[in-house]
Amino acid sequence: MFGQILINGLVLSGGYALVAVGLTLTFGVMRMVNFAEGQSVMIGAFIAYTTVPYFGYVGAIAAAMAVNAVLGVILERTAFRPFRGVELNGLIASMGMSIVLVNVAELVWGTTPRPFETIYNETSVNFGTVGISVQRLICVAASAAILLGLWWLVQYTSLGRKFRAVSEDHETASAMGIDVNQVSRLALVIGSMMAASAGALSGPVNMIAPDMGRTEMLNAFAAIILGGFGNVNGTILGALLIGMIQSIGAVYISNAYSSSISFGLLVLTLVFFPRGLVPERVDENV
Amino acid sequence: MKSHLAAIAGALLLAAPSIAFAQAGSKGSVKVGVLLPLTGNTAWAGKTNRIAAAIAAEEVNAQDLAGGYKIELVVGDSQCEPRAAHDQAERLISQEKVQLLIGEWCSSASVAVAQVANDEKVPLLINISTADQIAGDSGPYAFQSSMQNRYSQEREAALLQKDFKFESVAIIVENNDFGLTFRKNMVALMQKAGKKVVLDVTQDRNDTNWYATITRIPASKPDLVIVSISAVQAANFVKQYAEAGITTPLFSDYPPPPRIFERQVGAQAGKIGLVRAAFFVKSDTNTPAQKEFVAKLEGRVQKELNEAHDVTYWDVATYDAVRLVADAIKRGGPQAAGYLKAMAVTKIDLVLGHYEFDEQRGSRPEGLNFVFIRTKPDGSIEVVE
Repeated sequence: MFGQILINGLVLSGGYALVAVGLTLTFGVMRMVNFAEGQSVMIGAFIAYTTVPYFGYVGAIAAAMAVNAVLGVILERTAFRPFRGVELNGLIASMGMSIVLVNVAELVWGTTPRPFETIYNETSVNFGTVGISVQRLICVAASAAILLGLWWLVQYTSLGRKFRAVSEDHETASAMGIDVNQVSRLALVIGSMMAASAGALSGPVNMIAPDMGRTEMLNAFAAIILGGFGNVNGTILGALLIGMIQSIGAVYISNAYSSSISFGLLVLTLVFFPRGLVPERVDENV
Repeated sequence: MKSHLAAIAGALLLAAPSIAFAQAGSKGSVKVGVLLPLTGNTAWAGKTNRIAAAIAAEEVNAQDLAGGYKIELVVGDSQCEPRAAHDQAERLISQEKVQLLIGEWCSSASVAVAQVANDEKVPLLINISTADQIAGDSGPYAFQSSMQNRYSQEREAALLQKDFKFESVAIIVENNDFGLTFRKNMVALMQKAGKKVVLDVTQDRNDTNWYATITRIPASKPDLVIVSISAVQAANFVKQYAEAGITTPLFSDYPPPPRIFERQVGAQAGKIGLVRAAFFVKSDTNTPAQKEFVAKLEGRVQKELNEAHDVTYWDVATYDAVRLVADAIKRGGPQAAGYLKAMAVTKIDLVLGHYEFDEQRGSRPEGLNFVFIRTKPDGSIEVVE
């Protein structure tokens, strides 16, 4: 049974990590929290669901990421740039955008949850007495690949250096010739694309509906806080811990309170490590 | 003379509908609050339930079924969540000044609404929630027209023992009032029948990841798995159950809506051979009243929401609730004391069946419809009995 628990934990962790890292990226660069990230997951899932008959599954993931890139631009212009320096207003604006996105999804796709089937759902690999769909294994592998790609982008590319510079001090970065608005927009675009990938990858595992994304968002926040706000490596570690604890706790303790177990642990961790497991070191942040 | 009488009779006949129309509202309007989930994960049902309620109100007003009162519905979005339902009930009473309430959908939310209704002394009709004794435990202002879990589970347990060969069961439910009363009843019924409960799991209602729970089933080796999980979550469960390749027969309580559920996970449910209970299934065996309602609602949903719809139990229960309220107003007036007395002695045939209440203000189960259905491998439905 441990193999299933491990895979299940990794599937959960992968989804949480994609959302959490997108949030961390946006927060690190803009010092503002994108409360519409969970709804970006939902939009990504629906776009992939809609386009999969035309482009196949891989093409549908790409289409979802492309549409969410545009969504990221819209979010940056409407909910973030006008409120730079007034974080509370930005927070409320992004919450407002999250409601708008849910309503748009209800209008376009209706309120009845839909099955998002791929050919990988139908094929299962047996681990002991329980099967695991190839879709779940794809979730784990693709999440790892995307997170690795983001890490490489932040660490080794010119854009990554700009992210880190703006994160450290946006005024100095601006004085050095970095277009802070452009960097912020790209942070939101990448964050939004990661949310799309999370939706497109995890959508086929469950039903997709306009109200999805909230659980991912909540757990992503837990992962961010657990890992140390603003730190990509810490966030990934936090997501891994939350996903694994939920998976193990559901089997060995109780599934009735799976969220309470992970959030209880979060509170305990913060009592002993108030700045998270990987305390913020600005030079390592995005 | 004869021709004059015939002319007068003819004129009276022609004028009858308009006379009836004129009478509805002659004693004034009654504001009735309807609490439905219009957002959140049960919004898929709330939107058509609202249309069903509107159809009932239109008929009540057109045919003067509320004894000269005109019914005016005010809908609150209670989201199937206790806090939202509580707040919406307060809003409907204090701001919209409703005199009567109908709702909510989820049992935990109905418990919260019943508390408000009794505090504010506003009569409430719980029409969908099935947790046991919501009305009986909450005070004199609440009635429950839906069949309570204890009655439906007695029927379910009887069917299980008749149609399935098993000695041990796994019972899996949601961690809320609805699931927990199911679990309590079913565990007791199974133990009474000499069956062994080898796995007894509750899961957080918002947790879509059933896989961890499912992985525990093979280890506990039950002969039968029995679940009571809300509609959307049931689809997630069945999808993940099929994915895990578990072959243990699966029986579900009534929440998965027939046909809508089959469109979501019909292939997986068919592969498992899922058997479940249902209060209402659209079929050739429906009564004329049911067929008439199906035609009316499906046409209206197509017109208003621009989507094809298969009528569900929840639509029927909402339509019937408005008619039950109108009937009680007709016999007792809209003031709480008279209305409650009238509701207590209700005897009426509506779309779902025959309604009467017991001493605890819960509906008597004898007159209400209850069937068992199986999803076939091709994703279609067959009525087991």
